Amino acid sequence: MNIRNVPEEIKTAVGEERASKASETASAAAERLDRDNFWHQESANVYRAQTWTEKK
Amino acid sequence: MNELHWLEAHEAAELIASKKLSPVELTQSLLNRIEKYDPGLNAFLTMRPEASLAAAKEAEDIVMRDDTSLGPLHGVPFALKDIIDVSSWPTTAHSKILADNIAEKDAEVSARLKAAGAILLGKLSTHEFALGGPSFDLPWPPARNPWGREYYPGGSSSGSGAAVAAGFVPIALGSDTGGSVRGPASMNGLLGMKPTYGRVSRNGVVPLSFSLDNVGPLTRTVRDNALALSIISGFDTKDPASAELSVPNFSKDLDIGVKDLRIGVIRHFYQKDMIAGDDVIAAMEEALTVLSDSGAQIQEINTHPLIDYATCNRIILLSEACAIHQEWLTNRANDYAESTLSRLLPGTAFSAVDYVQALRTRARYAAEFNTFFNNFDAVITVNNMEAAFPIEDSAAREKYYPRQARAPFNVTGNPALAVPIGFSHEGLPISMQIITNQFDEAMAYRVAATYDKVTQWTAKHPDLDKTATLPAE
Repeated sequence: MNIRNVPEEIKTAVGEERASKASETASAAAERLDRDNFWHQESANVYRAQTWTEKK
Repeated sequence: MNELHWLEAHEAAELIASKKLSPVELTQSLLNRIEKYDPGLNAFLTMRPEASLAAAKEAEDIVMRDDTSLGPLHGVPFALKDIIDVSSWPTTAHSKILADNIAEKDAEVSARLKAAGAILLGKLSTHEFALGGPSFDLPWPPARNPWGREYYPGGSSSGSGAAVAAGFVPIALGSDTGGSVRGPASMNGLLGMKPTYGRVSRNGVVPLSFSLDNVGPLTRTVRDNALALSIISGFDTKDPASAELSVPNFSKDLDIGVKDLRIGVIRHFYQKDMIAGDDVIAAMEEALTVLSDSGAQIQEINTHPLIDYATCNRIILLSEACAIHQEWLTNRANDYAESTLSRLLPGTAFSAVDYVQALRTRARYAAEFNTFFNNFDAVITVNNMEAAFPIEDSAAREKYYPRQARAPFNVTGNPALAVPIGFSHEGLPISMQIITNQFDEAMAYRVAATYDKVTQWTAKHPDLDKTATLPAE
């Protein structure tokens, strides 16, 4: 399993124990994610250009 | 006349418009009820009774002038989850971090309810930032369940569920990112709608996860839910995800039944992926029988396992949430409740690739799920796997909190309506979900209305003298 780490500045703020638990949870979820996408599968962002500026 | 606190919103509006009920009388009656019972339920965080009564008096004056342009909720009280802005009111998100935050403007949904003539009674308890909770380490206590104050009322729109079930207001708004409208609806015996993503503006609502957040109504009846959704829906230039579509009459098909409708049922969510409690499994089968007896064609369907949807939802939700919370997590970590911190922190550890992969998976799941609607008018599945658990039992909280099937429909974006389907052996509400095609909320209301006409579960209310009073000191 590839380990996902909590950023150092947040680890400092919340403490080692919380950061370690969060790292375990994130690593397990990332491992579990169904990534069986075709290479051309696009993502579900709201990325249409008309949404990038304020609507009239 | 029915007891005022159990009046439906549309009934109250009709009585007010015909001068048979005073908005002041109704508002005062509900304020009295809140004063009497909310100390045992903690549904409200902020109230301004004088302002509410002043608005009710103004509404009454308009009626007495024979104004013919009354809004559909003229003089009817409502309340808002405390992540939804109201001009000059606090929006705390139930957090120490925003304890001093005063909103400058109305959220779009607040403005639309006010324009419909509704009277704001107050801001409601929530899990901190619509994520943590139920927490006992915040400046305000968590809301409790009107069906038994020792039980959890669902979350994160906890106060919204408790307030409507307790008869404090006929309509409350909540938000739903992984199920936070439908969870409280489930545990409080209410209707709760997560509309299609883009149907209701989120402008002026504290964000949790931009691409998963929805605002939706909680009510005691199907008709009120359809009415409330019709008022808060519609295109808003200030919400980038807002859909530029007209708003149909969501109530138009409530009385036409379900004969020959094709309804898919996802049983594997609650009979294989997770095993629901016996009460819930039995109630689900009874609900399907009711719909079948009403003329619907029921057929089992299969989709991805629940955990795959939940994982996709979690990676997107927490990654987006941590983009919002990153600075506070660094500078004000000690001001969060412990449960909020533990849920948020994994979001700081996901990689950018994890997030984008989850978004790709989401697009695929949504496309696949929506092909069901080529052959089906609606899909039904369970809501919570069990009824509410004791709110102060931390082991029960850990065990039962994740046992639900709501997150899939935040992932796919479809409308999903929580509908009461009876009670557990302890007398606590249980619930199913009706899911429909994108922007076809009217179909969900049609199926729910047909079902409820037969079962009448929504006619049952808690007796607060027995369930909501504080223990004697």
